[in-house]
Amino acid sequence: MRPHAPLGEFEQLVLCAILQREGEAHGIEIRREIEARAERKVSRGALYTALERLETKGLVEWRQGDSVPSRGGLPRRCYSVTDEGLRLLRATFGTWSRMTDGIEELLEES
Amino acid sequence: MKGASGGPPRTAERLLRRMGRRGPTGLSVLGDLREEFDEVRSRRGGSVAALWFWLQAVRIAVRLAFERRRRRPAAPLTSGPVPSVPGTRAGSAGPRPPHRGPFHLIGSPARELAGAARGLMRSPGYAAFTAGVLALGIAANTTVFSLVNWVMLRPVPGVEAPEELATLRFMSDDGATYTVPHALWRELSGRSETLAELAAFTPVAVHLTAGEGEPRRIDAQLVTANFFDALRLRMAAGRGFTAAEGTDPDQADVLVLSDRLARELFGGAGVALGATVLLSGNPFVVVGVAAPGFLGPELPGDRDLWLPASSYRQAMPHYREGFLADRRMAAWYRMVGRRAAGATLAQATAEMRVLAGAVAEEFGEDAWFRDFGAVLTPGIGVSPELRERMGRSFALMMAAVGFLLLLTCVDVAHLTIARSTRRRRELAVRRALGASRGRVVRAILVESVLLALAGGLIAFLVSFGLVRLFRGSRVISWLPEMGDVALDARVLAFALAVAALSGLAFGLVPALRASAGDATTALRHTPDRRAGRLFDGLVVAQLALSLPLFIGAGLLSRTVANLRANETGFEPRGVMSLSLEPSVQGYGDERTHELYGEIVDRVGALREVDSVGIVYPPPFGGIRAGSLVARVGQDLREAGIFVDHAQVSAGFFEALRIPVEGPGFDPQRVVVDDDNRRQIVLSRSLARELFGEQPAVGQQVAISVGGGGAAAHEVVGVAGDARLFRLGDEPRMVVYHPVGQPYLPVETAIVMRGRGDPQAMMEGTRRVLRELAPALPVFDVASMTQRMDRTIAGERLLARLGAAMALLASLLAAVGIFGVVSTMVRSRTRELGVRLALGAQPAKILARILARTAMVSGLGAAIGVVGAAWMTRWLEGTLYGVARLDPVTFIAAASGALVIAVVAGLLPALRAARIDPVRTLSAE
Repeated sequence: MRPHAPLGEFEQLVLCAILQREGEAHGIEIRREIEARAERKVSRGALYTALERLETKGLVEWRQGDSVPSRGGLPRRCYSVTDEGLRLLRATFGTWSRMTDGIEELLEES
Repeated sequence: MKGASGGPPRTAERLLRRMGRRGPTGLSVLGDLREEFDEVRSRRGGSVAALWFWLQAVRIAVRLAFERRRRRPAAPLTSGPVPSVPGTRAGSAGPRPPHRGPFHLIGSPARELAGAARGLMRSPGYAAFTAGVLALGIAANTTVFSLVNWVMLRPVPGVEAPEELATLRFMSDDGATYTVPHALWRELSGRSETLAELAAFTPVAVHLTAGEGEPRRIDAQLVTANFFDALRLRMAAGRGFTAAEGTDPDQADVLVLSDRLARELFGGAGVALGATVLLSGNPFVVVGVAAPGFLGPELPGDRDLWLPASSYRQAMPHYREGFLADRRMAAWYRMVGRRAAGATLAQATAEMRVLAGAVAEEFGEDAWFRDFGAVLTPGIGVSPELRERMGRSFALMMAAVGFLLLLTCVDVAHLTIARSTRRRRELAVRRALGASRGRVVRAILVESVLLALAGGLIAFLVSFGLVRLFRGSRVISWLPEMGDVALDARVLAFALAVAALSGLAFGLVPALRASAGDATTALRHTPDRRAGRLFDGLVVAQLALSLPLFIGAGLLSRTVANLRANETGFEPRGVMSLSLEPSVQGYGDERTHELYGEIVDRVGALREVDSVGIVYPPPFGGIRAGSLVARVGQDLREAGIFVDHAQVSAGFFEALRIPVEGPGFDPQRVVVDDDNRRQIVLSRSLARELFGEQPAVGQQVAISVGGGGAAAHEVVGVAGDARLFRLGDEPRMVVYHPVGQPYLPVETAIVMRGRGDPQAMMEGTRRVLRELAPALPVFDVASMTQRMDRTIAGERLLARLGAAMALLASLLAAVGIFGVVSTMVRSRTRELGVRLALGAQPAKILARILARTAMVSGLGAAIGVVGAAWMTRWLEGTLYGVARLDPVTFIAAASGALVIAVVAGLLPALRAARIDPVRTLSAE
């Protein structure tokens, strides 16, 4: 596998959301998590495309979760972040904290 | 499109399934969306949820498709080294390089499609506008079609193999359907060999109380025990009836609910199973819940509950003992049979006739049904008569939206011509370079059809919202109100077919034009003479197509206005009404009389109530009872007049403000007693018919009673003529009797006139009724105006649709004419510039353009008027109080259309007058 390109912003949000909901991070939850924390609308199309992309890149993986009656027998898919995904997210976070080092006060929301 | 169970739209699900199978997301997306669908549905209702699901499915599918396509070319780079062949580029498997786009491996039609799509992307304004205008026309068509589909074409939900079913009725020579005795059904179903299963049903109303809820009146069906087996109805839960439940009254305390009623009462089909409810105070157990959407074997259905035949004693105490056993009692309204393997409808019909004849022979004296003919019609659902009645209304609606679609096609054809004129040089170059004419025509046609299909898809989605507008309306006044209309695959197919056709229609002329002529003249940029004539033709078409819509809408709205303007003979405003059926609850005559007396006393004493009365039949309720009357001494059979009979209390005339001459009924006596039994009030026209100018009060009138006899009655009053049956009918001649004479009717209405707030009056009335008769359901609560409007619901629906169509048509015509005149001005810019430079007056140019527009429009309007004059024959029978060639409507519509045309032409004409000759000429 060739080294990955840096993560896009939305991909970062998705990975973080999965980590936040570790263990119960299925599609609907992930979307709600991002909408709640990032305070923005997330289109389902964008989310599922991102998940598919992250999966192809090997940054997330999934196992079958439980189902509810309204799903008509289709199980939920619970995502988790792979080691590679975590590594990339750490790298991104590292870059970010190095870049913001010393100017946190300026960036802090008042 | 809804799934059968009110689940997510199936076609949209299929789309997601396909996307899932082709990529790593699998079916999880579908699962998620289903889960969310459930939430949306519970919050916003089924149709919004279905629309929402469609939108999400399409958006997700499009995003995923783009993403996957984007990724695919890169795939070989990551999946290992590609063997390189000398002379070819690495990674290219065939003769075409991969950057040709997603369609490059498919055959040439797909390539043409991709080419057309690319071409349209280059003029997004044209593409969006065209698709939008077309979507408008197609959406109107799709919406009306989904109505037709819902009401007439869809099968009865939940019934298996409906093609084997047939409906059996017994009809007299004059075409009326008769209810026949139970014994006849028993014999037919026992003896038939062509019908493997023959079930019978009859409409009834029951009073239901579930748990702590208010008592409700439910439209139900009494059925033979094999009813559900004959239909092979899928059950949402539980079962149908057993044979024993159909014959043994002690086991018959069971019922089947409709899915919607089960949800409403218990929250779901499964929960309802085994629950006990009260019917007229007697306990019944829910043993089954019918398939979702099933509301009886007839369409449009409105039945929510089914009872086995022998349950009538407990469920409907007012039914006479021996309802089933007595051969002379009419029990079954219709029968439905499932043909045995190999039996044809003709064979079954012949057999039914023979069997019915044989049974009549055996019954001897009791066979009062002897002269009725057994009529077997294929299938169940909409009856042939209703199909024909509604067919007429629907044909009108489809014709109107058809015109609208043609209008959009004309609009779009103009745009396409304008566009292909601009592309003429490009097309000429292509042909000069060797492209065949067919190829060029095809290219333009493919573009048109592609646009139209896009319009069709938009239209299909828009229709989801539009059909909601029909909720609560009625195609024919006496039909049940329409619920949620659902769209299905048939509607989608219709939308796409209409789209494809209109794509061909508006694309063909431009395509032929653009490719006509030899290449050299086209390249020489000469002004096009034929274009002028063609554009004139388009304006003519706009007017000719929109005028019939204007005129139709005008005639229909005048019809509704005329119906409403009728002198009713009473004052409907401020009057509310509600209905009661004490006998269904087991009340005897005595108790009912007492109840009515107390209602009139206590409701009349309410502060909010001015006057209150009791009446049967309920005003505008569609029920009539009639018989012969004559002056005493005349022979009823020879001189008798057929009149309506009504039963009223004195308060009825007061509440409706119908003037009564003479003493009238005693206000102290609400119901019949020995003193007033033979007292009657005549309607004025009847009094005049019987007694001419002599005073009628105090006279004796003979009224026919059963068995050929007559009874003398004394006239105690003459009431003003009133329309109380249908708004469009002339006032009928009526004999008013005291309530309960000659017998107590099942359903009576309480009418009240209020002082001030009708809501407060209704609350007060309900409170009184709850105290007097807590278990008795109150139903059909409506103001008198609502009741009146209900009788013209069919006309109102047509008028509303007509008005909407006319509005859209005027919009489309305005846009179209504006476009055509603009194009014409643009193509003549040089010529106009020269004229202006040579000293022509701008005002003159303006006047000339407007005059031409007016002239061409006038021609179109003339054609439209002639066409409309011919077409209004379709409205005959629907119109009321207005001639189908009503000059006022015709003139108003034609002048309105001309005004629209001239105003639409004004803007581009003004631009023409303001052309700067210097700039125009120097631009050459």
